[in-house]
Amino acid sequence: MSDRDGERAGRTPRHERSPWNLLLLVPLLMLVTPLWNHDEPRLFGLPMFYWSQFLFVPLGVVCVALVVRAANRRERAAEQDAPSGGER
Amino acid sequence: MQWTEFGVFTALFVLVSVLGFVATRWRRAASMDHLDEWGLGGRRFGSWITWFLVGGDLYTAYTFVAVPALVFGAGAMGFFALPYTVVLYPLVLLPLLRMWSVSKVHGYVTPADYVRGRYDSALLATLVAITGIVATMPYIALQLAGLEAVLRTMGLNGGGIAGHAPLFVAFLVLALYTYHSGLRAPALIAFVKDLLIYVVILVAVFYLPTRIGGWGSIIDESAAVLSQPDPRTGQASGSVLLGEHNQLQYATLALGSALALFLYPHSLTGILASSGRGVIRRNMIALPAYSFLLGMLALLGYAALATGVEPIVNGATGEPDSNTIVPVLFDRMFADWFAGLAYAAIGIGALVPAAIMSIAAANLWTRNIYKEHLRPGASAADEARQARLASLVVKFGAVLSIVFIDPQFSIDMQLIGGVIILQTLPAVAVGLYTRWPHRWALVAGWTVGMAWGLWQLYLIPKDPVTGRGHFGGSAMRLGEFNLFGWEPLPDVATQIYVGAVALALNLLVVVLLTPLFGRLGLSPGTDHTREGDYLATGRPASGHTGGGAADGGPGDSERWAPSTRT
Repeated sequence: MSDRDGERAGRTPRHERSPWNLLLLVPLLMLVTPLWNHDEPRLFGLPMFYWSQFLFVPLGVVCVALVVRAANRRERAAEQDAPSGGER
Repeated sequence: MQWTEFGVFTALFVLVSVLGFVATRWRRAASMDHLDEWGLGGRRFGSWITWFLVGGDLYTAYTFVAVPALVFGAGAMGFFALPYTVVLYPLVLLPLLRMWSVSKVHGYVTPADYVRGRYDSALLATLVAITGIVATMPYIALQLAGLEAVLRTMGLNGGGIAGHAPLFVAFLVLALYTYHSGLRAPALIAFVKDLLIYVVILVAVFYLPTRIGGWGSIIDESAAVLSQPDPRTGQASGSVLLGEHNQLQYATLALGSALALFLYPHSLTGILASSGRGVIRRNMIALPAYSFLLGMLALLGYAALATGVEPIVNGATGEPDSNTIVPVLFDRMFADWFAGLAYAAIGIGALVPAAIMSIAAANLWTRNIYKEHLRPGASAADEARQARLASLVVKFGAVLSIVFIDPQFSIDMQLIGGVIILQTLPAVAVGLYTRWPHRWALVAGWTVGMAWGLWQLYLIPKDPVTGRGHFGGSAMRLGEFNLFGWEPLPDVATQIYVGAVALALNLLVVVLLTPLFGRLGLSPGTDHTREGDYLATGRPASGHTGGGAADGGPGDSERWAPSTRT
């Protein structure tokens, strides 16, 4: 962006970049329909098509929760490194 | 007339109306004469309120009646709502944090405000605003359709204009308290709505199968019903698993809908009203609870199929309304008082999103059309007054479109809405990450995606047998892909979501034209945002919540920061 960023670079930690964020791609597996577009095995009478998609709900939650936890840790560490800066 | 059901429904409706009016006292602001107060609840909502508010906003009454109706009509395809609302949160987590931060710093209220600041283009911002308003209007009308499905099931199924009177009364009440209390009203009502919905759905999903013989037999019977050939087309109406040609459609529809959802102005309103990045993060973890609920609700479509539910014939249009299948199922399977509770949940469920949507559309109108083009010198109090009036106009427009135009019109428009709102993705969502696209390339991409998407939807016949009519769905065969006479995939029968293809064309145009416009020397405009703005936590260093106006670039503070308030 503009040159002003250069001045600020020391003050604004890049909170966002992290390999943890790649976990956010895992729930996209849900879009690969051939994996679970089957009738058997059934669970509580529901075909695999339905119960496996329900299982993706907690999977998505876990992935997002891990990414958030990692981000919170990074931010806390950044604040400790630079007690006066780091946020605005 | 179902008097017990009607009594329970009315009692709860009156309760939330009272809540709507007293909401203005809740976390009271010194003055409601500022758009941040009326339109964003003061940007102070914590995790719980945001959860109820955004949950009530995204998972609407229409969703709760229409998704089971889709499953009832077509089977597995209707279940796309589950993957849609599961892939949603991982996709939007990071962009929404950036959007919240940059909006907090610069006082943006709408996505078009952001585009205006980022690309320095009034034209692009106006296009984004108009797209948002056009996409939101039919969505509000559909909430009415959901509410009306319930009213008609209770016996208020009159013909003609008078048959719409109960709907009109309900919306008049809604319009008045939204005008009065702004975003605080739906936020408070959402508590009641969601508690009701959770109780009703959990009871239904666990109790109904015991009455009908378990999910195994429900699915098997539904499969048998769906596989019977339609007398007109000679083809099965659906199946309980995806077929050969609709798997890509299922995936692209789920993905496209997920990408589109937070481009809708009303979804963003709920996010911008939250008090901080932590609130958004916690909500991205907690909101999927609603997705689980939605998935279970979708299965009720099969319960309706297996028990032979027939949709009620709408007294005004004379056609069966498939949106009534869940209300009819409840009427048939539960005691009257419980059915009344369920109807209240759906009915109130229509009011929350309708209120938020009308507020979001009013914000767009006020900030990006009224203030941008009609009255550039409008003060903060002018803006708030204009937005309140606009919210009334928007809601009555929606009522009139249901009463005087066929409700089918709103359903068609909603279908179009998803495709057109996706065309703002390059400017709004991609813009959060890179300023690389040229503003004129974004305008060109929007134009191409919009024109092609609308044209393609127009070509899809309403009646697949005769090939007559238009806007019959959002699925096209890849074989029909035609770009100025060029057909790259002539005989492929695989289906895909029109919105996904339109978005791909849009992005392609942006990528091709950006370097060209750069070389032609067209000015890219001044970016009023800085990288640090996208990471701002919003906690003021000096203890004043002016939104960091002092940090803005040159010219920012006059034009974009909210005026000082206490």
